[in-house]
Amino acid sequence: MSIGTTLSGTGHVALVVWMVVGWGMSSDPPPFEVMDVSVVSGLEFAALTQGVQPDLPSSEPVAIEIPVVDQTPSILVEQTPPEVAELPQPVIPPAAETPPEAPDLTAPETSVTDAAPEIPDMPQIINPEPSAELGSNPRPIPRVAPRVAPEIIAPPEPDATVAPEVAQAAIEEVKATIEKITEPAEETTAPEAAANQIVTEAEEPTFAPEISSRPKTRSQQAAAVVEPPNESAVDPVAAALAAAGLVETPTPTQTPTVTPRLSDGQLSDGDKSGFLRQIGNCWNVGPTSTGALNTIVEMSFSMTPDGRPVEGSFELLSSSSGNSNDAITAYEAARRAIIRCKGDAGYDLPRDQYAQWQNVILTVDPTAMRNR
Amino acid sequence: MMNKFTILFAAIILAFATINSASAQEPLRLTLRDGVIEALPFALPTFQAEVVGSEDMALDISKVIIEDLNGTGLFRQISSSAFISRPASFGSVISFPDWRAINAQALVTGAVAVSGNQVTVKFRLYDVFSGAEMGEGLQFAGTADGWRRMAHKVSDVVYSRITGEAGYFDSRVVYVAETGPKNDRAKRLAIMDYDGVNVQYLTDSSAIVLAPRFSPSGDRILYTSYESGFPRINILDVATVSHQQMPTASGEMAFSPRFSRDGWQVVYSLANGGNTDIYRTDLVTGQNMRLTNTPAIETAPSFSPNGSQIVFESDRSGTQQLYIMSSNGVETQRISFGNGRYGTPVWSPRGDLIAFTKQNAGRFHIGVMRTDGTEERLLTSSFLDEGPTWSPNGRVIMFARETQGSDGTTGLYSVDITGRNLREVITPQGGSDPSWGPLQR
Repeated sequence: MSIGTTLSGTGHVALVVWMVVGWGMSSDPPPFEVMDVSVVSGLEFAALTQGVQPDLPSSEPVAIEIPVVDQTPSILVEQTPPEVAELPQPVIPPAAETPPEAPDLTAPETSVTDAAPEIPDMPQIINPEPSAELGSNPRPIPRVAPRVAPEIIAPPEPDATVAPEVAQAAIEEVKATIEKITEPAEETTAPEAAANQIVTEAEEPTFAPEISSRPKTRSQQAAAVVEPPNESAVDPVAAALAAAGLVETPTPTQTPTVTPRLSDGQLSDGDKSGFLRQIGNCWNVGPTSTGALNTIVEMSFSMTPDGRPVEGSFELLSSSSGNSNDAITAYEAARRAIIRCKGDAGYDLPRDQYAQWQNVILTVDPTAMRNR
Repeated sequence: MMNKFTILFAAIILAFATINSASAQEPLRLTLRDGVIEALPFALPTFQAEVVGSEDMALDISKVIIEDLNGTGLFRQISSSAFISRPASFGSVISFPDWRAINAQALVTGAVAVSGNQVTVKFRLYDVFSGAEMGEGLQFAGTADGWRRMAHKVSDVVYSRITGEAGYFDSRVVYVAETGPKNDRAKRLAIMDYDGVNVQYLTDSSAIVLAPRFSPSGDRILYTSYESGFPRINILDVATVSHQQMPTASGEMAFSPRFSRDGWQVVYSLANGGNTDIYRTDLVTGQNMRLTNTPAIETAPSFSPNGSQIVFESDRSGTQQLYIMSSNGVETQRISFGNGRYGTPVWSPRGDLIAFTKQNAGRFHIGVMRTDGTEERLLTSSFLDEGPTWSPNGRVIMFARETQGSDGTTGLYSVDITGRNLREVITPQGGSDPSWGPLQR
């Protein structure tokens, strides 16, 4: 027999014995409550319940007490007043300090009269005595410099000049003279006159200003100044020929009435910087956003011949940094400056060079203004 | 025949090309670098009273707008005595030459109507030299109690349209109101308008309070309180003025808190066993994360606007300097290398600058530097300047200044980030630890 069969048989036998003996199984029923009832018929039940409403629950919902919820004021919007935060508990403010005594602000009595105010005696201005050290001459006195030449060299002889008169000369000689004169004379530099003293750079006079305090002059726009004809500008050759009876008496050479600009038709740097300076006087970056101050914009606009910007011609071409709002802000600030500073007479630009500044492309770079 | 037409056509094309080449002038190219920095003169005639009985309100609102704009240092009001003409009514035609003649570059006109408890404010802004309106007119309505807010909102719009950046007038500041002598000073949390008006107290003076910080939305305030005897961080609900304490283990000291930009995380310092490090707590999940772990004192953390980085101060190098790390506490790098000690760094709302307190040679300064530590600029200098906070638009810094001596006082000041326009913010009592809230909605 296998172990399994033995165990199974033993288990079954034990179960049968346990059931026969009845261990653990009580035949007594558990105690229970007994209630007397009476049996009634249907008619008797109807008679008993007639006219009596059943005690049903009310159809009204039971009132539930709502918990108190803190009413949190919403954040203010435009239509609502500002929030007033309630104090967690009343706080007794500190005792007010006794204010300092107010100074007496009462104005002293004054009397008003029509009499002219008395003029105090004017102090006499006494010129100071000239300094004994400097003397009466305020100019700085140059120091004595070492001699650079033991002897003073005599100045060179003056250049030879053409005789003003050519008299009784042969025609050939005159022609030869003419050819000789018409050759461009080489410029000869006369030797510098030696002096008995010299002032070197290292020995500049004391107290001498390094730069002139005089304001710099504006760029000379009127370069086309008509210089008066020089009476001495008579061609000497023609004069000699005239004296010889070969030609008519020459007339003074006429200087051209209009001298071309040094810039050869281009707008000069002075004109450009002057134009920028005029705009810059109105270009106020103070009320400009910090973002716009970091933004370089390029804009274009047109000008009228009388130096005024065409307000409808402004255009933002590009921006190098910053977002679009910053670029627009920087552009608008510059546009307002250009419009504002045109003045009543327009910008000071050479009218005869209108073609040069008819259209302008302006790069506005406020980055250098950030740290000012 | 064909050849003739071809030649004629070619001649016409050539002629046009010649004409065009002759007339097409190369534009003049210039670069403008030098300008001026000065306050922009503006004119603001007293707003008109559209309803009888609105005169006083119109005058008050006009005054607040003028004070707002003048207070920036960027604008300068032109005295009304210089006005050549005034608008006949709110919608009347503007005589721009009259305003150009007095060099007004901007003109603000407006009207006020009071009906019972309701106030309506409308205004228009003009660019005088262009002779055009800058933006469209706007109208605000509210109750009479909120008239100052409506005035600030007008100022915000005017400021924004001229400068190109948002305003900061309709905002509030939470700070520590201080009373009493230096050695026995009572401190309470207080909240006020940006200009020092409408001060209200949020706590009593029974416990010392320090370092209040507005949440980005302005509805909550973090602060350090000693009501338990140890520094603990409280979160105060502005609307209900109720607060709850952030959980802190016994024996630990928590202080110097600051919200993240989304308002759901808090970075702060936690001192335990003599060591102070920076931690981050998620207010939703309650999870804590230790961000620094050095024997040095690390404190005053401040999130970058995008929340990816944190600037803080540490003496790990031997002196108090500024450092930047990622929001997870890695990739730490030092950014301040100047002489002196640096502290209380605050990242600007624009994200481009960091404001700080610097102590050097016996003086305190409020300064700004770029986030990589370059272009350091000191904006103020005094016996004691500290605790900078940024205006919502990142243009102005408010800070606390204390005067020297046993009877020295504390007060709040503001300065433009250019270093100009240093102004005292007048408060009923002394003040310190300001924190500028966002623009109100």
